[in-house]
Amino acid sequence: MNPELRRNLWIELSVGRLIAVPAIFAMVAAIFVLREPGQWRTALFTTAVAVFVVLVHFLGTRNAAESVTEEVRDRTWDWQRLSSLGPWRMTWGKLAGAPAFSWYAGAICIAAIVIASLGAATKPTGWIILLMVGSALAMHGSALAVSLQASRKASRLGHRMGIVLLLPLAIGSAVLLVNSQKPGAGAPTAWFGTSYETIPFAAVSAVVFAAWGVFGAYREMCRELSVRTIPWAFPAFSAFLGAWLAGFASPPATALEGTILVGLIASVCATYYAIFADLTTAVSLRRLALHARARQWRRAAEEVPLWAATLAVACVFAFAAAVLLDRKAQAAGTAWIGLYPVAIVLLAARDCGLLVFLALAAKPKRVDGTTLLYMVLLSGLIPGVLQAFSEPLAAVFMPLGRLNGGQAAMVFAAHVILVWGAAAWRWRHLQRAYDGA
Amino acid sequence: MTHPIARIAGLRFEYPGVRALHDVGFQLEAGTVTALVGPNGAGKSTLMRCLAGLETPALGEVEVDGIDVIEEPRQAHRRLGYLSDFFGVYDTLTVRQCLMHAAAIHGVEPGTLEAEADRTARLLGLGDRLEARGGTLSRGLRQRLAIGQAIIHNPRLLLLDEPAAGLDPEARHALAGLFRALQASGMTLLVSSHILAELDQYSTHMLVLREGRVVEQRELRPTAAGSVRRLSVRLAAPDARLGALLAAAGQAVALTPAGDGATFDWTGDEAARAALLRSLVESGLAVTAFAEEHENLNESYLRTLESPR
Repeated sequence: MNPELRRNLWIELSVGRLIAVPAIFAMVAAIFVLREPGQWRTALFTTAVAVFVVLVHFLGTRNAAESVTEEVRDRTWDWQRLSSLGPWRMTWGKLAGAPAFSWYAGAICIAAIVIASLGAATKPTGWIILLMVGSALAMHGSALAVSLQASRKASRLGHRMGIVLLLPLAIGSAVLLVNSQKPGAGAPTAWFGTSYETIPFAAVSAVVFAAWGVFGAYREMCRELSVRTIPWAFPAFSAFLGAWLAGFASPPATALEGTILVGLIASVCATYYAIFADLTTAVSLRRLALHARARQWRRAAEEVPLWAATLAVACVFAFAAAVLLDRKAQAAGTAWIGLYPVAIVLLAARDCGLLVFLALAAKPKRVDGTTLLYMVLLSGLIPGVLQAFSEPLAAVFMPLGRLNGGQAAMVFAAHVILVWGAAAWRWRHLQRAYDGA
Repeated sequence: MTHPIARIAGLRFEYPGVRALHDVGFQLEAGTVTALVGPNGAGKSTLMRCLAGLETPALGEVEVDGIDVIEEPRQAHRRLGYLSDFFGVYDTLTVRQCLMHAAAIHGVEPGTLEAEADRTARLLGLGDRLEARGGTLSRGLRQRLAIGQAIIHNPRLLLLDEPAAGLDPEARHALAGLFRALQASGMTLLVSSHILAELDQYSTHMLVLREGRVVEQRELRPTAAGSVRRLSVRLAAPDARLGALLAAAGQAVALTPAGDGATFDWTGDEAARAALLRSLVESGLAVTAFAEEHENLNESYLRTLESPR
């Protein structure tokens, strides 16, 4: 048996719990079933789904996330990092083990759903169960990945942000599941111009996201266990997310146009997520530089920050979007709109520069929190105040919505030069400090 | 014939704005116990964590039993054990479960987990506590359990960072006995501690780290032929011929201020040593003592620190 799974089972599954869960579930189900004995199937089904959402989606996700943070707090994580278990065994041991109690309760819920569905011809029970399990696994995997990132960074901001990003998935799947038996739940979903039944479409999507979630957790576990990886998975996920979301883009946008524009938004959002969730330090940047100087390209690539990788993806999408919008602009006679995507990517590049500038401080403190503060100041507060006096002056800080695409791109290009120039100045200062050491 | 069980070359580790390890290089011979000593902030814990594969250095090579720790940390972890200075144990698991888990994650055969847990518990005096939960153990017993978790897979190299911190004198004595037994079984130990008297009980070598640099690595109790030993001669009364006779034997000597004795480094074998004593006696010197001096770890360490940088 996987040692990490067994350790979790020792902790999670006591005899008392094994007996208590079915007993409590039976009592809760009885309360609702006995209210309307004639509708016992619906009552049992709804109760089982609700209990599953609470115990597996929410409690299980919390346990998956805590499986690492608790060990860091209790100073046992170094033992695990010293083990000879590979990252995959550690990942699935934690994913199956930490929420083992939740899955035990979830299995009882699934059994109840199957019982409630027997003889009811219209319910797509199989798809619903797949949606339940897939979305739960997606949340557990993502929570573990976020937790690993946050523990490496010792950052509450990154952890909270990750949890906030999980909420749409949690709430979306919960709403879908609870409403799955209501009239109108069978309304189709349009994706890339094709109609699909909502529950099967959501179930398949959940399984795909579960695969990404587990894969994300595995990749983060690789980094935590010092198994060296090149950061391609997160940018690939951001591109996938963009393509998946693009399927919901309304006509007249074509599939390609939707993919490019939504892909740009997704990769820029992923860049901002990486700024706060991933660890960027002077030490990791210097390791990158030292390996590059020694022409150890693979080692250097392993040190590339996640935000840099997603920013590269965003640049590709921005270029494609610029070409696309430029053609449309020429046709419509609107100038410079094609450079708006470039301006957006330059804004993201500026904010990455802010992060690097602050990370390279002699005594860096709360780098991500300070980066967020600077971003809010530069993009929101300062232009907001200046707007009352002079719009052109406000546009110097936030040109989006105030200037055309070309001017906005030029303003943000100036920001990039200033911020990255300051970061370069700090970098040189840091090199001198190391060389003098 | 010994061979290096650990090899470090050009190891550089940096914290923001500070270089903690400056191109450190050394080897640990198999079957030795090396005391890793140095002032606070010298880089001892960082060095141990790099050796254990828990930290990624900026540059350098780290090998344990021929395995590249940076390239293949999981393989290396089968061959090493590490006790951090700030460790935790699983409070809700029993001692048996903690040891079985430690064995399992280090690749011990699944069928032997329980037997290995029992054996290790007995070795550490925890045989009667196997069913006690980690959270109920005293500080000393937790320390023993943590050491048990580090050695249960019989690692070739054992890294111990302040293993005796918080232990009472009796427990420290028992720990010294355990480390000697582990060395006798062929294990190589690298032990960092501020309690030099304790290290002196079982260390064979000393590695001194200062400001992130290795300033000395040497054998504490030379046994091999050709090793440098420190000898001292004492006379019943001062004699001016002593210095000349020792110099004639090729020794750089340090005479006592009164001229009634001397200390010197000796590289000859036992026969040459006997011949030197004979020549001193036959020359008419009133030799009252002729013996090897054992410098303890504390003296060695202080002498190293006082030497010019």
